[in-house]
Amino acid sequence: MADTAARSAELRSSQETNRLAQLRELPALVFLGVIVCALWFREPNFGSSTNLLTTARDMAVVGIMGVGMTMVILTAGIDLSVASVLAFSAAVMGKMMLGGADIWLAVTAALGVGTACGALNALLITRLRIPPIIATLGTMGILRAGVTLYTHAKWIGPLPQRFYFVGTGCTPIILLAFVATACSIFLLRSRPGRYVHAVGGNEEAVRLSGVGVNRTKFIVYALNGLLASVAGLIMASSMSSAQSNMAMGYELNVIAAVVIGGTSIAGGQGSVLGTVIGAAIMAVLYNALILLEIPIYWHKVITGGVILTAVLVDKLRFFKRQ
Amino acid sequence: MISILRSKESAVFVLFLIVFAVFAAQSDRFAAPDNLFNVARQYSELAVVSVGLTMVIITGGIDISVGSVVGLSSILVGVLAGRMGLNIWLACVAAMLAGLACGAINGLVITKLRVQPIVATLAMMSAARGLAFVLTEARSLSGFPDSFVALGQAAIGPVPGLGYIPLSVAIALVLVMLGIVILRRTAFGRGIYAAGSSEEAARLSGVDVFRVKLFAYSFTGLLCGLGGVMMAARLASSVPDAGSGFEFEAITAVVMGGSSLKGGEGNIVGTIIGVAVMGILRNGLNLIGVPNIWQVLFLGVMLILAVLADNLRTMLRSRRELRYPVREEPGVRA
Repeated sequence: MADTAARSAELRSSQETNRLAQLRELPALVFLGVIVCALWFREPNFGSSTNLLTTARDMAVVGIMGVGMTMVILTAGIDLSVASVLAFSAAVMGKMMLGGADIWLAVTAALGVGTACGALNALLITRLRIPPIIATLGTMGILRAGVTLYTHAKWIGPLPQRFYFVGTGCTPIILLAFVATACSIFLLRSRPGRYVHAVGGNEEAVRLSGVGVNRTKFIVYALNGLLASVAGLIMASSMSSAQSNMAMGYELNVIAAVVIGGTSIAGGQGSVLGTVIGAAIMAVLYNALILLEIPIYWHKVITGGVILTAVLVDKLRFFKRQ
Repeated sequence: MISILRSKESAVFVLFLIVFAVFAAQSDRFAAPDNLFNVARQYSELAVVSVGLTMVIITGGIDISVGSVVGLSSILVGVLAGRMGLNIWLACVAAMLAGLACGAINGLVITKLRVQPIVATLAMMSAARGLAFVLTEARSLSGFPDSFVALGQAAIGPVPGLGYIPLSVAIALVLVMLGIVILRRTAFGRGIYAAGSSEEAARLSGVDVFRVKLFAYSFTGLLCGLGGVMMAARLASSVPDAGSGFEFEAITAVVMGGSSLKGGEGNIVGTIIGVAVMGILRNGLNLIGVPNIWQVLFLGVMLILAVLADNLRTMLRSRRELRYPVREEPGVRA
C-alpha cells in the first residue's frame, strides 16, 4: 500500500518535471536567471534600487507593447506600427495636458487614440484584406508623419508633475503585471481569447467552424493599439514630455522580445509569460552593457544574436520532441 | 496589347506616368534632364538592392536586413581603406564579400535551420547595423582617394539619344538586365517562381529549393554590399546609418511593382518602375516644396493603395474566371 503511494508520488513528480521541461518559456527563463545572477555578483550597482527600477521601467515599456504584439503574432499577424501609435497617442495626451485639460481626461484620450489606431489597422487587414506586414508598414509611416505634422516636430513638455507617478517608482512594473495577467486570463480563459490561438493555428478551419475570424482579429489589433498607448503613458511620464520621434524603431525591440519569449512568428503558439521574460532579457542586457561600460552600440549586435539563439533553441526542442 | 494592359506592371507604369505628368506640370525644373539624371543617380542604390529583394519576395520570403547590410558594407569601405590603409579597390571587394556573407548567413539560417525569414533577417538587421556602429563608434569616415570619389560622380557615354549617363545608373541597369535574364530565361529563375508558388510541389518536381533560396538571399546580400560601396562613393564618406529605411522603401517598391508577398508572383520590371515612382515622387515633392515628413505620409498611403489596387484586380480576375473558366498556361506568370 505504502509502496503504491510512493510509486504514484514518484510518478507524479516525474510528470511534474516533464511538464517543467516541456515549458516553452524555460530556456528564456534560465538565460534570464544566469545573466541576472552574474550581474548581481559582479556589479554591486546592479542591485541598487534606482538601477533595478530603471531596468524595470525599460522592461515594462517593451513588455506592455510585447503583450499586445504576442496576441497579434498568435493570430499569425504582425504590427509594425506600434511605436508610431505610441508616439501619436502620447503627443495627443501631451498637447491636452499643456492645454490645461485634466490629466485623467488626457490619459483617456491617449488610450482612445491608441485603440482607434489599432482598429484602423484591423480594418485595413480584415476588411480590405491587406497583408498585416504591408498594412502596418503603411500605417507606421503614416502615423509617424502624422505625429510630426501634429506636433510640428516640437518637444511637448514639461508635463504636469501630478502625472510623474505613472513612469516612476513601481508603477510601470505594476502596470506590466496587471496587463500581463489580464491578457493571460483573456487568452486562456475567455472564449474570444481561445479563438486567438485557434485563428493562428488554422484560420480556414476556424472560419469553417463558424468563429468570427475578423472579429477576433479586430479585438487583437485594437487591444494592441491600446497597449501601445499604455506604454506611451509610461514613456511620456518618465521623460516628462512627448516628442514626434518617440520610441522610433521600438517595434523591432518589441518583436524581438516576443520571439525571444518563444512565441512562433507563424502563429498559434506562444505565451504572454514568455514575452514578459523576453522583455526582461532585453532590458537586463541593455543595463548590463551600461554597467560594464561596454559601448552601447553592442546592444544591437547582441540583440541580433539573442534572437537567433532563442529561435534555434526553440527549434532544437521541437526536433527533440519529435 | 490587352495582355500588356492586364499585366501586373501596367498598373505601376500608369501610376508612374501620372506622377510624372503631375510634377512636370507643377514644376518646370522637374522634367529637365539634369534633374532626372540626379534622381536616377540617387536611387540607383535602391534599384540595385530591390533587384535582389524581388527575387527573395518571389520565393515567398522577405529580407528586412537590406538597409543594415548596406550600412555595414559602406562602413567597411571606410574602415578598411581609410583607417587600415588597405587598397581602396580591395576594400570595395571585401565590403561586397561581407554583404554576400550576410546574405548567405540569412539564407542558411532560413533554409537549413528553418527559421522564418522575417525573424532571421530581423536578427541580421539588428546585428549588421550594430556592427556598423561598433566598428566606428558611430562616427562617419571619409578621406577616400580621389579616384574612388570621382567614380561616384563619373558618367559614361555618350549613349545615343541619352548623352552621358551616370556610372551608378549604368551599374543598376546592368544588374536589372541580369536579374530579368535570370528570372525569365534560366531554369534557375523558374525555380525561384516555383519555390514561391508551392514549395512542396517545387521540391517534388525536382527543384532544388534549398539552392534556390540560398542563392536569392546571398545574391541580395551581395547587391546590398555593392549598394553600400556605391553609396560610399556617391557621398564620398562612410556613414554608419547609411541605408537606414532602405528596407521600407525597397519593400514598398517591390510591392508597388506587383510582386505578391505570398510568393510566386512578381517581376523586376515592375520593381524598377516602383523604384522610379518613389524617386520622382520624392524629388517632385521636394521641388514643389513639400516637407520631407509629408513625403513619408504619401509613401505610406501609396503602399496601401498599391496593394488595394492589386487586391481589386485579383478579385475582378477571379470573378471573370468564374464566369468564363480559362485554363491557365502552365509555367511562369512573369
